[in-house]
Amino acid sequence: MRNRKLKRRLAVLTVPQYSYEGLENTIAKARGIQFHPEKQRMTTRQFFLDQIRFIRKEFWGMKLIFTAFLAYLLLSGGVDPESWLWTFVAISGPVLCLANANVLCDVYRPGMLELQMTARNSLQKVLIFRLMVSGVMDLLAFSCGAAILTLWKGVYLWRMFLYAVVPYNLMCMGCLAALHRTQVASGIKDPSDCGHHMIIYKTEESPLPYCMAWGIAIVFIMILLKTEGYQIFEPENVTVWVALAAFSTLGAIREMKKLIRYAACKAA
Amino acid sequence: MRLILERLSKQFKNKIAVEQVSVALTEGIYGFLGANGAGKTTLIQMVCGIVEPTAGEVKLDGKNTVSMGEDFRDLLGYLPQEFGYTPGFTAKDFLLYISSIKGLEPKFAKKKTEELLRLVNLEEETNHKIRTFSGGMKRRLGIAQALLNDPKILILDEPTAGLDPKERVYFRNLISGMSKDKIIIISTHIVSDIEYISDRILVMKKGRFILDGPAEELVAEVDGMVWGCAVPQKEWPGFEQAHCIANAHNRGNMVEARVISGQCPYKGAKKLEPVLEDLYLQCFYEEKG
Repeated sequence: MRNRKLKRRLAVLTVPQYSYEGLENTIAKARGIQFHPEKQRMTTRQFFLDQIRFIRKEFWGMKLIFTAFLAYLLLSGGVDPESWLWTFVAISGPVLCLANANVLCDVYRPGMLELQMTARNSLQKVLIFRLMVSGVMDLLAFSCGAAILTLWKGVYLWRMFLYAVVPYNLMCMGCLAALHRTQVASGIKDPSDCGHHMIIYKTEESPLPYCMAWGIAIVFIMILLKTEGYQIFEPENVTVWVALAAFSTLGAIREMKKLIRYAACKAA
Repeated sequence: MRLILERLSKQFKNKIAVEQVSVALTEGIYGFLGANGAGKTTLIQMVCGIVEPTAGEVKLDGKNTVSMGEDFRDLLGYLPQEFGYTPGFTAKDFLLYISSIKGLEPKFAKKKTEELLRLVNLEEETNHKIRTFSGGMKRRLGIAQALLNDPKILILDEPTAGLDPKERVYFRNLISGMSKDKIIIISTHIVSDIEYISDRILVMKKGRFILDGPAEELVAEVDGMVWGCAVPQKEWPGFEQAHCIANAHNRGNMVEARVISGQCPYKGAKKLEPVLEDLYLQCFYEEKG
């Protein structure tokens, strides 16, 4: 019975003509599966999460200790404009930023860059991730400080941000520029889409000493202004701080964009 | 799979590093042989997308590798001449980090890392800091990182630098066993690295491929040009200046030499069986002269 049914169905079954194109398509698809074993690959979100474990422990430690120290200073110090508290707030930016410079420099380590540039996840992705982690961590530290000042000392929230952000952004700007300048420009106009001179990453020069020197200079200026009696944290100087904040933010964004654009260009 | 280098050129200011190189590669092992400064590294950096060509392009199965972007890099395994690492990294950390930027799923990456550390005989050094490693160990770790994503295109720049003879043989056998479904490019100036395992050898000089073919075919180019002779010590300085010498060995008053020459270099000289090194020396002899 079953056989008869089967025979009947087989009788009406049409076998498609041999198609060379079909065979080619099958081979192409099979090759595609072999070429792109997606099951073994991460998504961009997974990649960002996975990268967290490769940031040095010193980075997290330094951020944590410094945030705790800052919180202690804010809780114990006076908030009047003549107080040293505001100078410490201003100094905290460059110090926090120095840890970020370390994390970014790891990517640009000689010999490491070639490996980054030939990996599936582009150098640009790695840089964006590290910049994001650094920025978010510092924002958390400043927010923590601002919350303490507002809740315990009744200080306006913006003051903490303003005095911390200006030196922080200046430091970022300097470090990113140093990172950028320590790469050697080959002087050959890129014929494709980058529209600027290509960079050959072959330098042995580390940008870290430049970052450190820039950070020390900012800290030194802050301390000098305080010891020389300049009341830079007086309310009448707020306009200057706002102007500096705008300038330094734009400068930091510009340098950041430059760095990411170069990275994207090389690994595109 | 077909990797095509189409009229690739690279110029650094006034220096032409690579000039109009065209070659088509399918699955197999390719040895890029050339003296230091011949343009091998620049060429493979262009293939990998590290250096932008001044002219020409690289295509994989008809697609431009630059526009393939991450799809191309996913198929690529690259070992640079020297590689860096974050100072605190252990061998395992390093491989896991490279796995991460190669986009390998963490569980798979862990499995692959263990497997590769075993393959390159570093399983006992898994948790040791890389900065404590010898040159050979670092090289083996470099080979392991290139293999992490099971690349279909494996490019190795001077892979055996720093390896001892036993490690070299092990490496050669390892690579030889992988060539079935991969395009493997080995760039080197060490003839023995590629002589027996390469399907094709491409000899590079002054930014161009000057010879291309299987080792036996290339060796045939110097067939009948390799001589063995004994030259008296007092005649040796002049003789050495005038000929391409592959080997020389002092024996009493005589110097026994292996000479590459179109004509019989010395009375009583006997023809010898040529090897690839003879061809290499002949190719790069003029530069010395």
